[in-house]
Amino acid sequence: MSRRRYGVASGSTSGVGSPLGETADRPAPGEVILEVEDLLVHFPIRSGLLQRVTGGLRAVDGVSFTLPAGETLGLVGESGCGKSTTALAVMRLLDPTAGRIRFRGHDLSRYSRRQLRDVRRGIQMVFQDPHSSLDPRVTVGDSIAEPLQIHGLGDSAEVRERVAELLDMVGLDRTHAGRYPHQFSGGQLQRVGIARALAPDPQVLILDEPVSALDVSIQAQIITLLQDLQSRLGLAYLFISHDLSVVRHICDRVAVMYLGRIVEAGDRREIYRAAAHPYTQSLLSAVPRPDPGRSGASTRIVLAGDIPSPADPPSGCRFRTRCWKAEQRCAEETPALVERAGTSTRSACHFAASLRS
Amino acid sequence: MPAARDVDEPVLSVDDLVVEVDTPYGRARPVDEVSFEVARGETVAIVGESGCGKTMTALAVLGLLPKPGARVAGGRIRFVGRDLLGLSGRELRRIRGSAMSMIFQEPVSALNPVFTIGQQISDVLRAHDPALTRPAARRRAVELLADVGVPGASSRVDEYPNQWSGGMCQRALIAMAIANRPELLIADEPTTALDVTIQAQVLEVLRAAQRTAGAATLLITHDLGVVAEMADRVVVMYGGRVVETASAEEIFSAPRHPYTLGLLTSLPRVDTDLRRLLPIPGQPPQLGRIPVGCSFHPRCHLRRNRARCVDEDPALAAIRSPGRRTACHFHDEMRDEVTNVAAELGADVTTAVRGG
Ligand SMILES: Nc1ncnc2c1ncn2[C@@H]1O[C@H](COP(=O)(O)OP(=O)(O)OP(=O)(O)O)[C@@H](O)[C@H]1O
Ligand SMILES: Nc1ncnc2c1ncn2[C@@H]1O[C@H](COP(=O)(O)OP(=O)(O)O)[C@@H](O)[C@H]1O
Ligand code: SF4
Ligand code: SF4
Ligand SMILES: [Mg+2]
Ligand SMILES: [Mg+2]
Repeated sequence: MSRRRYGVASGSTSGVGSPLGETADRPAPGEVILEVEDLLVHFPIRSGLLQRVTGGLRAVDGVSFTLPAGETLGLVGESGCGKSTTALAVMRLLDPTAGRIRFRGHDLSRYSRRQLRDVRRGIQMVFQDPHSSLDPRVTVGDSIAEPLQIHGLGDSAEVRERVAELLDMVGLDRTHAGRYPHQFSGGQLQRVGIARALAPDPQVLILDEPVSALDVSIQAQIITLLQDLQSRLGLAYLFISHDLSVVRHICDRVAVMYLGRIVEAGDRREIYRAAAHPYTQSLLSAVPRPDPGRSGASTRIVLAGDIPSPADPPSGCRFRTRCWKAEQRCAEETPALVERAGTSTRSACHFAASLRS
Repeated sequence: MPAARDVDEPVLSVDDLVVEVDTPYGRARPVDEVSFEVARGETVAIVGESGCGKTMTALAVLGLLPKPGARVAGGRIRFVGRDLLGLSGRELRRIRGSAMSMIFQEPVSALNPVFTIGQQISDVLRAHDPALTRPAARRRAVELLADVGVPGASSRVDEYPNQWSGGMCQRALIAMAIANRPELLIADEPTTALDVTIQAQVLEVLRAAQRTAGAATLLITHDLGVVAEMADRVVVMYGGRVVETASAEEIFSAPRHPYTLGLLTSLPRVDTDLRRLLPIPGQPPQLGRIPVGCSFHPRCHLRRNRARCVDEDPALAAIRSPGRRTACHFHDEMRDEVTNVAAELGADVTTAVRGG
């Protein structure tokens, strides 16, 4: 596995002095901080009058990745491919069917809820829809303070000071702590969501489509904020998105998911310049270019058919029902996610190497 | 339809259209003196961020503004030589679904769940041509579905919408929209709800459908990639107003309104590495609280504190380049502004904002 660094700005935490009188112990930049191995999340399918379990929906089916400190890993793929389920399992907001989740040496997959609470301070999550992820009856200041109280970080004066500092940090007015969610726009609420996630001073943020609900001008503000925060605080991001343009702009490494599996993963530059997996190639070519002269429509690979159901995925390579390169072998043998010679990119395709143009 | 029609006349022309609604703060104008034209065979895109009035403009043209609450309070809408605002509800209904048809954002909810896809397409065909028999309409429905790339159309025509995916439902709606060879197709965010590989399929179908039907298209979208790919001309809206109109090529290579430029510099690119994004600060205005003077002034980089931007509302006026209009007092300075901004974004972006 590649453990290279990608020139992320210094992981220094100076300038964000914690009023809580405690500096969290910081991982060295590049040190693997989060490691997910063979994660499986299967949801039971129930049917009939008695709602008996008659099958399993393989939402996440053998996902592995590592996240080095201070870096951004993009998890991309189309609707239903298992991105959010992966995030929820890593957060242990749902229990994985199998697999290991290691955070700084702790095996979270084996921890009890109680043990989790202490460790989880280091991993926080930001959701797509800021309206539904904040309680409308609670002031934004109290929402931001809540994780501090849960983790017993500071007395009430210290918490108030920390909330004000967090509001500053995300570009909101510190005097607005007493306002309610409905008094903010979508973009401002997403800043509140980020402040809340930053409150307990985590090392990892899991961001599930954090800019997908926002207009383009606001989206650019939040992307820029996330980049600033990362270089100031040395945060690692697991950045989940279906938007390949946003991922290109913000990520160091990219993992492409299809039907519950990672089909290709590697350095951002390699993936965007020379993707080797047919699915990644078609995904990239499908994005309309904002450039009328070179729209890319003429060279586009338009896939046939729809994404199959994860309740009944195709045998062998899951992409084979839509793949223009598929051969008999693809139906019989599941391609492993393996590194290609001369690159740090791993691709799960029997014919990946021969696809480079 | 009048027998003699001027071929140069636009299919659709909207002049100074005003739509009024009642809000908790009083009466407001989600659409405020909007003007644009769509020529025969042309695709015109309306772009802008959510709430800027794109859908309300489309609904006004279609005569489908939400009632009560929203009404046309001024302006003219001419469609192939007829004044749409003077027509009765019955006449409008006849035009919709034949000469003018529409495709909406949510394909699944736009279809009726209790009828088969085939029945719904047949109904559209038979409403336009009552002489068409049921079996003939069904045969035509199968043809149309095959045209929009529904595999196994002859067996799937009898299925219900809930048996179809979002992308398939959008194909069915495109089939219905082109069934009666419309002169104008209005598509409001037709691919926004779809995944990117499905969007690619649907855009291809839409392009082919436009070609076969020879229809002019009014395409509403917030996705500048879709605009670049589909549109001949672009209308940029901000806070209920048109702030710029130009050819698609010019909008991307030489924007002449600071808001248009701000949209472009906010955009991460799939095809190139940018050094950074230059977001537009602040937020779009809320309905009923549109800033005085130039409504973009609180967010405008070009303003440089000049009083004129607050004192005087810039009119949408023609600029030297033919066919272009912009609503900015200082549009003369936009050439330099574009050059400076492109330099700040990184060399690569000149592919996006090429200056000029
Ligand atoms: N609680 C659940 N019970 C049953 N199935 C579920 C549950 N949550 C998710 N799924 C299914 O698991 C699969 C993966 O869902 P997931 O939400 O992870 O997708 P996603 O990649 O985040 O998609 P999107 O881009 O639409 O957010 C889907 O088929 C989904 O319908
Ligand atoms: N039925 C309605 N009554 C009052 N206001 C409305 C109604 N529908 C939309 N609006 C408002 O009109 C403005 C323009 O809306 P719309 O045309 O839907 O924007 P968009 O550009 O996103 O399509 C928005 O401020 C919206 O909240
Ligand atoms: S393994 Fe076969 S079906 Fe799968 S992506 Fe490669 S060529 Fe296509
Ligand atoms: S008129 Fe003034 S505020 Fe408005 S866009 Fe032009 S420079 Fe900016
Ligand atoms: Mg999701
Ligand atoms: Mg709309």
